[in-house]
Amino acid sequence: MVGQVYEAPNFIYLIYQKFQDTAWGAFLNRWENLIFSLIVACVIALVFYFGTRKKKLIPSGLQNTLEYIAELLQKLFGETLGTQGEKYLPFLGTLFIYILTMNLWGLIPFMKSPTSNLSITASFALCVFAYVQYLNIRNMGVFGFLYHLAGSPKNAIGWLIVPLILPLEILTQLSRPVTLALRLCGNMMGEHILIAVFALMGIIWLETFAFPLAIPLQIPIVFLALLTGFMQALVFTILSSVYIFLSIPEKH
Amino acid sequence: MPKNEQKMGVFISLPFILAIPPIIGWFIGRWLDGRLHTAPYLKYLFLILGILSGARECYRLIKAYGDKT
Repeated sequence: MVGQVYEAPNFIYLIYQKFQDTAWGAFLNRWENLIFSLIVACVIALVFYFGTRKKKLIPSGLQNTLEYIAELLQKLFGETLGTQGEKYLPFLGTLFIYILTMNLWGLIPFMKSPTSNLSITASFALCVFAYVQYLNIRNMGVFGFLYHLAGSPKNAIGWLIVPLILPLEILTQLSRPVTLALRLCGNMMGEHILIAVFALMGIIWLETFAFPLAIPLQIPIVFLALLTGFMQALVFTILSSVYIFLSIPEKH
Repeated sequence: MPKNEQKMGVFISLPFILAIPPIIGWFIGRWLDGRLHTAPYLKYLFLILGILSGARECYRLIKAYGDKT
């Protein structure tokens, strides 16, 4: 058990179990999600550093793989955002790769997906929210953005329904980061609880016969988690790109 | 025309987009009721606004990503 949620134990939790009376043990346990997210960030940074250290005109090996991933992302966001897709590729691509790696990180034994914690997903969603609001104000100006929030009224009836449309739009803007954060966190947490429950079931079934090994019942769920981890990272970034698309005034 | 993966990504999130705004609206209304002593009117007003907001966002996404047929 980690905190209040049943998940497979990670190495930080095991260290905490051993040294829970020490200050650093409590520190590790308190900040475990942040530590795991930093580990993931370091791993991604190292992979990209070594992949692009000796760049060649005709890529091979790791450089080839990284360029393939970058091209795939460029194509994906180019379809949503059109010609302006490339401008937002560094932000959206980083978001996708970081979330995907975090989602899959929990499938490595004794590791944890930081995205199964609401604080981590909320921080991603707040980044997207702040960026979209910045783009809205940059593209439309403060008053232009307020006019857009009021439903862009053009006649007397349009101005009459502004008191209805304005709160609706504000609620829509506020609910976007909450939706992004809750969906990613809920899916990842559910997935990892499911893996832990199936793993525990495999242990308990054979324990009845005093058998020292366990049935790896969690294996099919791990394959499902590979799919859902990828899907959730894709959904998060596609929705972020849709929100960026909606902040470009001439496109809709 | 958006590709199938993009459509799937958007449509997967529609239940959340429908469910979250009424909850946020309810909380905002409850907070405003506490400040303005208008309980329970603003709570229900913002709940309805939240439902409308979710439906509007869904309509917007379906219009952008749904099939035109």
